[in-house]
Amino acid sequence: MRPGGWFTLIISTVFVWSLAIWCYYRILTAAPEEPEVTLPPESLGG
Amino acid sequence: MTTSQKEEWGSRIGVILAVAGSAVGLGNFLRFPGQAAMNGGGAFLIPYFTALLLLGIPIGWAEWAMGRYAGAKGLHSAPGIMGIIGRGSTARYLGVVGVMIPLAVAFYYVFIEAWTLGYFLKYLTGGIGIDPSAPIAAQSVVSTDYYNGFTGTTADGILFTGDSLFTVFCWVAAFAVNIYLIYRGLSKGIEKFVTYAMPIMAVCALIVLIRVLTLGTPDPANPERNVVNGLGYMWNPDFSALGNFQTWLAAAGQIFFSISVGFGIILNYSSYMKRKGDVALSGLTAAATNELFEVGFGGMITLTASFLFLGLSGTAAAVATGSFGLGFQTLPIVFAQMGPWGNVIGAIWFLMLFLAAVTSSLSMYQPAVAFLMEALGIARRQAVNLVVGISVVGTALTLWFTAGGVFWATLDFWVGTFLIFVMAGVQIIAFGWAFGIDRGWRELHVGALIQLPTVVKFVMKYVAPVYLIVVFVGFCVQNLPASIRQIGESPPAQIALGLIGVTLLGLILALRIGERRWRAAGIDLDGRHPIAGETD
Repeated sequence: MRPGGWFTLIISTVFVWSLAIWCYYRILTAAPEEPEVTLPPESLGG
Repeated sequence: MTTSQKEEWGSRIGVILAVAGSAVGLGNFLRFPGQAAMNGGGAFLIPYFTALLLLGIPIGWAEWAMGRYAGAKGLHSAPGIMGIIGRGSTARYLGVVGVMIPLAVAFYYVFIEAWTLGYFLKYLTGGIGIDPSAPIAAQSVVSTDYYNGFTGTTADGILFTGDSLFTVFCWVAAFAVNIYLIYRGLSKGIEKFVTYAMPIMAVCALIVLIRVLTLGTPDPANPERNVVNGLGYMWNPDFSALGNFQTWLAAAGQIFFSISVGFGIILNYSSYMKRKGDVALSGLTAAATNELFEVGFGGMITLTASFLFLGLSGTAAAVATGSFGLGFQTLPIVFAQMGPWGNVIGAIWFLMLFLAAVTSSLSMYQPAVAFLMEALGIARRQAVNLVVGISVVGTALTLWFTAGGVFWATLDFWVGTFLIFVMAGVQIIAFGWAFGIDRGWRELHVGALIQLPTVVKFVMKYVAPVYLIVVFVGFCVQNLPASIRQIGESPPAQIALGLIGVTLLGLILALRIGERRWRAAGIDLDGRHPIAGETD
């Protein structure tokens, strides 16, 4: 593999792994969602 | 009419995994590496990530925000959501496409899902009969023959005869799994399944990746066939490809179809979120998960494994056969060369593909179920029964017209590609222009766990629509003439188009009924009034 191949491989892989780890860290350490009571419109499904 | 309990995701991570599961599919492992190898190798990642940042993620954010907003008004289907966001019946009727796409894609997608299940079962019980000591050409014949027999690509109706009934059995099993989970509902069915399936997929991908990267130089007689050179086949950049419009088109297309924007699925899934549930970080996390599977696993496994055993010319030939040729004809030959571990790795690989396919196909049924429930006022069980009936007809045609794959390729082109561009365009224009970008931006940040940079607002209003239109025009110029010609020449293609038309007509009729019901129920279906707490 040429140096350019190593460069794109490492940059791309580090980018996707870092982004995913950062996102999940932020999601999993965020305050839990507050419970919410919403009344659905009558006679509707979904 | 019946009244049904409002459905809701059980957790924040549940909806993220459900959207990510919808996005991660066969394309991540089979289509992405082939596209990259054919379009500049490592250089392909430049237009690829550009499209991710300017097209995929912004349109995804718009879908998340629109779905949650309309869900708070009581509507969960793409027509209902688009009517509210686009403020009128034009957007509402265009929104029918957002139910049509996932439903019609499921007609053939579950058939392909059945291939992954069938191959998994075969590898669990000894493989597909490839003799690794035979010449590669002979192994290729065995693999191709098995593929042709299993998928019925040689003649119409062949799957309902003799040994091919195994394929039909696999389809029934795959379909049953989907329907069971859809019956169970959003939280107990889809969410629970993806909560287990996604980590299992990641573990499977990791096992196969580690195995491939530790193969070294499996054949001492061919020292050039080693892991480093295998990675080089995919990642060595050819920057001259960046001067070719086709490269940019292919990259945008890959991003677009990979992260599931434009399907109408994210709209539906996010409509079940809490009003103050985060969509900004959730949308980014779902996209990041998809990229991890695509670049982190798909970009490292498939072509590297092929290169190790088939060399440069064999891998180039495999890439030329397309995603299915690579996944179902070439990789079985690769697994056969792996010795006693080959069948184990093959089973893990196809289990992973099967789980990826199920998490995607589940998301294809749910929008239609939600639409029928709220348009016709029926209970979930009745809506699922209706979807089962429609799907059985659609898939029966897919299972019958298998010759050359023309039938399902026609569905894939017109519904799974062409209409997705249309739907994505409708969504981003409705969000940025009809709903209003300032209002959309505020909506995107309701309950947000991250603050997005202001430049994203500009991208969502101007860049993404223009980018999309350019890609769409390029796509049409490149593909429409041949596809239209094929419809004129092929009866199965004409039947596929007829199926699309009939399904679309049925959905429009259902929407007519739904409109009357929604008005009678006092729903703000034209989005005339802000929701509580919103500053218009």
